[in-house]
Amino acid sequence: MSTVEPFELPACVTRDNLTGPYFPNTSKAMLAAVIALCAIFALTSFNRLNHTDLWGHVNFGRWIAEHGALPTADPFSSAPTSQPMLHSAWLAQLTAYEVEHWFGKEGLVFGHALLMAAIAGVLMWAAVCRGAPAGWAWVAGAAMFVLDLPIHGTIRPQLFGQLGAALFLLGAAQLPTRRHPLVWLPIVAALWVNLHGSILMGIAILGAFAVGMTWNALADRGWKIGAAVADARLGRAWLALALVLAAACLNPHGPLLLVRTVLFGEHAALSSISEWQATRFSSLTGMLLLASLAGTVALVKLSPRKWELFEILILAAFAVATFSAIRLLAWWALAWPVIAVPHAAAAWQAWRSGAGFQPAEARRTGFESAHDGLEIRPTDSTAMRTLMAMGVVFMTALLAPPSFALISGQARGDGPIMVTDTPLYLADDVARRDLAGNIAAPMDWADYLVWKTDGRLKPLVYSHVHLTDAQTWDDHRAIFQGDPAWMAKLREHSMNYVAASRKRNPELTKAIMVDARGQKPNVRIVYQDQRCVLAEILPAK
Amino acid sequence: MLQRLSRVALPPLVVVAALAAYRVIAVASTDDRIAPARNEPLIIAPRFDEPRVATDEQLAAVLDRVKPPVQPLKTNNMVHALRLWGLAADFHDPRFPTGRQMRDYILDDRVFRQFAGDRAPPLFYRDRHGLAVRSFDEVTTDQDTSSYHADDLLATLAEVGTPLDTPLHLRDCEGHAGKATVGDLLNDSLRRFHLDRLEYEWAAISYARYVFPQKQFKNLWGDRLHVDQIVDEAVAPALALGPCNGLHRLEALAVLYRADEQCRALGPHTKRKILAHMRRVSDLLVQSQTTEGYWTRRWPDGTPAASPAKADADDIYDLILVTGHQLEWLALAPEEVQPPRETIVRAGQWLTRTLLALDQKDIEAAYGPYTHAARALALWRNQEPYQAWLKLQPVSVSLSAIQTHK
Repeated sequence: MSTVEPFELPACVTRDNLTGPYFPNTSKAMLAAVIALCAIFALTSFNRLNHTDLWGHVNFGRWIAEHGALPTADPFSSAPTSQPMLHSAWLAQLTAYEVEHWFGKEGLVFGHALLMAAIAGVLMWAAVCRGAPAGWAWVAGAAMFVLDLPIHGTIRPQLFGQLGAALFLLGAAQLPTRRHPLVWLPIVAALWVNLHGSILMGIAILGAFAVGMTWNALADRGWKIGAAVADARLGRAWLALALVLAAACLNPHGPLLLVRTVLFGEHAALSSISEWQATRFSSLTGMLLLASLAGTVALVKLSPRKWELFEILILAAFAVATFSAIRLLAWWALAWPVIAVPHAAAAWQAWRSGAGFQPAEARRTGFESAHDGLEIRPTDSTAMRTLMAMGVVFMTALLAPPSFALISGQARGDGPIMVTDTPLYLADDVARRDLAGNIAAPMDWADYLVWKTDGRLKPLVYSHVHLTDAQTWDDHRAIFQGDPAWMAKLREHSMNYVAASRKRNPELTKAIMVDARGQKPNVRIVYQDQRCVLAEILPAK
Repeated sequence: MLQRLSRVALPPLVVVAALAAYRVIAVASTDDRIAPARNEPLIIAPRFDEPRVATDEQLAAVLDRVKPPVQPLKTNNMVHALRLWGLAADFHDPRFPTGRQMRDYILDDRVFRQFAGDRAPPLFYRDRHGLAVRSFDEVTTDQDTSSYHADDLLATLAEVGTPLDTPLHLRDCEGHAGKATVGDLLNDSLRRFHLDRLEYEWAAISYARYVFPQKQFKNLWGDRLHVDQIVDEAVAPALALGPCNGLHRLEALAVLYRADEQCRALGPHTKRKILAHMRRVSDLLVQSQTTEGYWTRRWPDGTPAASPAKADADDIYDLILVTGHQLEWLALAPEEVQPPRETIVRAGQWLTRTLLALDQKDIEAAYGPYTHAARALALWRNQEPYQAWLKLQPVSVSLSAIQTHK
């Protein structure tokens, strides 16, 4: 019987000449995290700028920058209503405008990708802090990216809110063992409340955390309230919530903003907007929600980790919220990975070790194991992996369109950057001719028309539908559905122009074309292409 | 401390340095300006000489009826007349502008004002995207002196062989802003081109004549447009859609195909697509031709329309528009897509008879379509319209023309 000599690699191959005191080593887990973040950055950067409400926000940002103040009434609509302005996103609007002003549209795409990578990075960190092994961190980022698919393609102030929520989840993961979140969580809250009106989600996260901590403290102290109150974890949790609530009042409306944010969804026009409608199971949002719920059920059975009350509260609240409105998937997509990944890692390790499920008393909480995942064995880290990580970053910078544009100094132009439904050519023609006045245009086109004409065109309705009164909203819908009284309604609202999409408003387009060719026309076509018709409304005879 | 700082700062610094090096070494500066391969436009000569379409005498008689009208002045008429008569035209009659005057009407604002008057706004102006043409839809006034179709002025300049370095004299533009060439017009016009346009026929013709064999260009919005996409735009819509019953699309396709014969720019698949489209139209023309020889606007149906019991001027206008345009593109199209020659001869003879019988006032009232018909007849006779007209003029006119030419 022959024996095989163990094969040894020569020293010139195995020797690590890169490792030294001046160059960092990188673990496998860190390399995986860098790759995941780069992938998220690159994939997000391929999204085109969605025209839906982006330009509405940038318009507000420009107005704020130019006037050095917040508008007290709608500055863009042809018929400003008495609807009070809600300045819950003024800082995001101003930021978006400044980014566009200094770095152009490539800057917006770059910022979008950077925000998504930052959200993923914070979530990965939070998952590790909650007890997931460092090698599993990338799974949290990837899971967030997949669950957030229906949401993250569109750049809007909500992305800042998502970053805030990710930071709150990180804070909640660190608070049991660290005090520094008490310093930075209020700062994040103060910024968040001015960046997007979703601060209530952060308060919900910290509220659920405080309740969960209270439950844990009581359980650990034999349900003795006095002893539980003395628990440092409890004090930190409630103090953090109080500080965040106080910081959330640092906004143009003070504490009232929180109340008005709750009532925001009550506006009649919002019920017509798809993202405010209940989730259908057949939609991508519905399928992602159901898949992640199924995963949760599986983890409940398989995970040897103890399920915290905090986890249950957060999952239940955000799942119910997402069923009620599609756009709330944004918060489920953040919470689910941070909670599920540590359980998934525990279940995987249990299965790999073949030890079966540990008895309940042996289960550790995420907080007790919070720092296990950060341990990096000396042998795991190499300088070669640092080089590999640098290579990945280098390639990502070249592959991602906005970073390549930055590096090469060659912007792609509006066509490849913006979604194809943006009324690029219509807006360009309108701006070229210096058209000004009132215009009835499809809601999602109106924002871009306002942007390109510097507010000289004033739309009947634009994407900020909550600023429109019910009658105007109904008239706008009737006009664009080709109501026989379209011309009367346009005149009633003193419109100077009407723009219609051939595809989405075929009845109105036809009515405009027929009228323009008639013996006594009410309109004159001033621009048309394969996608749209723009007509000037002639004075009534 | 230094070691810690180095471990933190070194990797990002190295990546940034590598990206900077990449920019210096690998990123070439790009100029988005369209760079045509030649200064002179391609000449697309007629392929056939079919005397049965119109005899020399018939042709000269028809041409004599479509001399350039200047009253009432319309840029559209000037464009059609220049396209028909060419640069060499000189009628030795002050009532009719010469070919050079018609070209200079476009190129030189001073000549434009001689015809249109000082109050007429200029044909060209500068906007933020460069040189722009005053279009029909722009305003409700002065529409007669505006350009009627997108890029029709440029395509006409190309058709009459205007080099790209020919200067354009603009109004009220001093210094650098006042200096422009046909090349600038080509660049700025094509840079405004996009695939959502309703009218792309004249842009396609200009592109084929000036820019071939370059296969693609970048527009103002950063979209890279390939010539195959322009062909798709011309082939895909319903046949009757577009200016003049959709027939300028066929002319654009014929010009693209012929230009490609001189300098290869189209892919084999695209060329097959063009041929298939032309062949389909050709078959429909055979099916839809009336016994008299003309086609109606319903030619895409493939069934011959009943002859109108009593044709009024409007009907005749439509019939000449369709029949003239059809013969015009067929004269440039390759042999393999041609209908039987009998179809062409019948249509040509109907056009000849009808144009000769029409009231002169009707011709001047709707000049454009009639020039297409006359040009179609000249193309099918492989003759320059001006030379064909000149042949049968009195000796005095011919001598004057020869002396002018010398």
